[in-house]
Amino acid sequence: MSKLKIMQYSLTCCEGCAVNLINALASMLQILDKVEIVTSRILGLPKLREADVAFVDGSVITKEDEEVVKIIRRKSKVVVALGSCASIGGINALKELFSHEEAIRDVYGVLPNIPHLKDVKTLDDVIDVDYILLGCPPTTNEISRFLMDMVLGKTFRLPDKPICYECKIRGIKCLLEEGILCLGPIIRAGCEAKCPAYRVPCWGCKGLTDDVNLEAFLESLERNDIPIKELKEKIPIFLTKSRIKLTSG
Amino acid sequence: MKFLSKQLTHLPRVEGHGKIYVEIDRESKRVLRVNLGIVEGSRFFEVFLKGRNIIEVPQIASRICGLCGVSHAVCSAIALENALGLDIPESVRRLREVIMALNTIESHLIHVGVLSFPDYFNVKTFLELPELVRNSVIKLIKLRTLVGKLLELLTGDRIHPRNIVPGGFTYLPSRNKVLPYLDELSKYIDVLYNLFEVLRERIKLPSMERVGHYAALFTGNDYPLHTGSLIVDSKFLIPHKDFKNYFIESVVQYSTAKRSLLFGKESYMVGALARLNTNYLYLAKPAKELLNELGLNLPSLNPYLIPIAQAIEIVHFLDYIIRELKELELTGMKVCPTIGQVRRGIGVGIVEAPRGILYHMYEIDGDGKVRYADIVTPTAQNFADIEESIKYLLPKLLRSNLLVPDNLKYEIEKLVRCYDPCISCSVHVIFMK
Repeated sequence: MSKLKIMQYSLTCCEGCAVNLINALASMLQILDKVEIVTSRILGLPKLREADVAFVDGSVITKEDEEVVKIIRRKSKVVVALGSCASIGGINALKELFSHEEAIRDVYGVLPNIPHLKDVKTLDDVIDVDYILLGCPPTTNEISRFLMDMVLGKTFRLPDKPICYECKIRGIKCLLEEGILCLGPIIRAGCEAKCPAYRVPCWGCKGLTDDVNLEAFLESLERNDIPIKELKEKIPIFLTKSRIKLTSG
Repeated sequence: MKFLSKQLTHLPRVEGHGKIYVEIDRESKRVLRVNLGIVEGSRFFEVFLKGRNIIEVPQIASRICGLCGVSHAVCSAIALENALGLDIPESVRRLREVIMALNTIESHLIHVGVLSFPDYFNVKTFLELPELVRNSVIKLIKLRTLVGKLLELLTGDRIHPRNIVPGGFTYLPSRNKVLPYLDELSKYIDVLYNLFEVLRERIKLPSMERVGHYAALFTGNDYPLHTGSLIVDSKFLIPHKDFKNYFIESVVQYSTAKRSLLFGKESYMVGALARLNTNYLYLAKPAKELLNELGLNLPSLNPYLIPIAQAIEIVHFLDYIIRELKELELTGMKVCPTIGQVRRGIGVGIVEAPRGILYHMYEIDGDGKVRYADIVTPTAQNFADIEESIKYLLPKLLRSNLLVPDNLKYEIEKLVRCYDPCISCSVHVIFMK
């Protein structure tokens, strides 16, 4: 059996997803002889090579980012948007709340010649993407599961249950019922509810479930005396580019 | 509000795409220009932190870096506590130090094991190392997995900690979950000690006796990561709130990242070697022994010693973590994330991230929202020093008949990698002439 050729490439981001990809590989030594890392700057292999699976983390923010992902698409059989920034915009997209000119002026004082695109783009804004792995960062368990599926030639499926499901399984006390705004009911599971487990409400880094029951969610906020204003403030942290729209007061 | 009238700063995403421009006159072999430029896009954290609720800040700030998220979270929490005038229990301070130490070990292990060893043996990746050394590196990777798991247990996630907020922690695991790790970790102290002796026997480190400055935190009784005063050259104390008056930032045309200079003029070094220079008297016993074995002459600004300083720190912090966690009663440290009375204020936090001094400053309004944020990262401070080191090294390389462009490029990249500028392999040398 030929080895699965893996490419790892980080666009503009914190590279935490790339680190977790390497963490996942380091913790599954049993498959290390089934995979070969062909491209990874972190591991000292900067050249873009032909790959079976390319993991790309970060957002498309510069002109160079945009060109590189097109090359990666041409060189790879499967392209994976790794993490929130690559798949749904994530924390990088928080900048979209400010005007581009304002942000540049704030940071540099003047308008220098900086190679930024006006918008923060996700990977599928620029190229076709085969899989997304969500989270800030995706858990090593989920990355390992994905790698295993790829090695075995299986199709990977994202869970389509909300975080609440994982909280119930782990017996985690509901934060909403304590009057703390938690996006768990509308956010995709797969993280083992790691924030609520540490008594931190979900901010939605794994993106929305396929079928969001917004009405029921808003009702539960009302029931627990959580003002919708708070929801409007929390949504942008990870979900600026998501399809959820809150119009009324 | 004197801070508000100042030009806002750029937060460089430094662990990414960097380029070095070297301009050499082929005739006279004179070095005309050395520029380390970061061509990575900005992510505008200081812009979008504005308006955020202070309780959210440590988690958002941690997303600045995937290798030292802990430092950004702790640093921002301290800055916000200072803005609020909030006192922190000693137990919280001690556990924060342990968490910082775990993060430092995790980060150093990548650099020393995966990035530095290949350079010492002149190979491209750690997979090409001689078998004996490669097996040692695999031990380092196993230790890193263990440290990462403990960090995940203590903070909720090993990349971006979840439970750090102004005032303390939202949640902590029970003590009986932590204790099994301590026995496992204890086994590694001897392993590491023997391993790093390889450094002494197998590696000839180039000397580089440059003059210059270094800065680190200093308490006078331990080897601090998030407490103490900021001290330059082990002599000059700099009050936290005056940081930006001493370390002055500027924008350069060839980089999207800003850089800091001491008094706006001179380069300085931050990070493991700067810390070792400042605090080597306070190393734990096994680390002190290793330091003596290796025979380092301190203080030194030889960048080739940075990975060695990191190795010594790994041994020190491992010993430190085991001792501290055995003592700390985790269950007694749960701190409710209620901040109490919110008030307007300005606060500064300075910590030792794995790569050196990290500065966060926030101005908050009466509603507990951020009005202004300013962040200076360690690598932004090291840029100028990296350039100075290259300028120092280049003429020597040119004289030693190494002017095959590939060799020259490799030697410069190796030097830059010593500084561990976040994900250092991202740095590429480009020849202009």
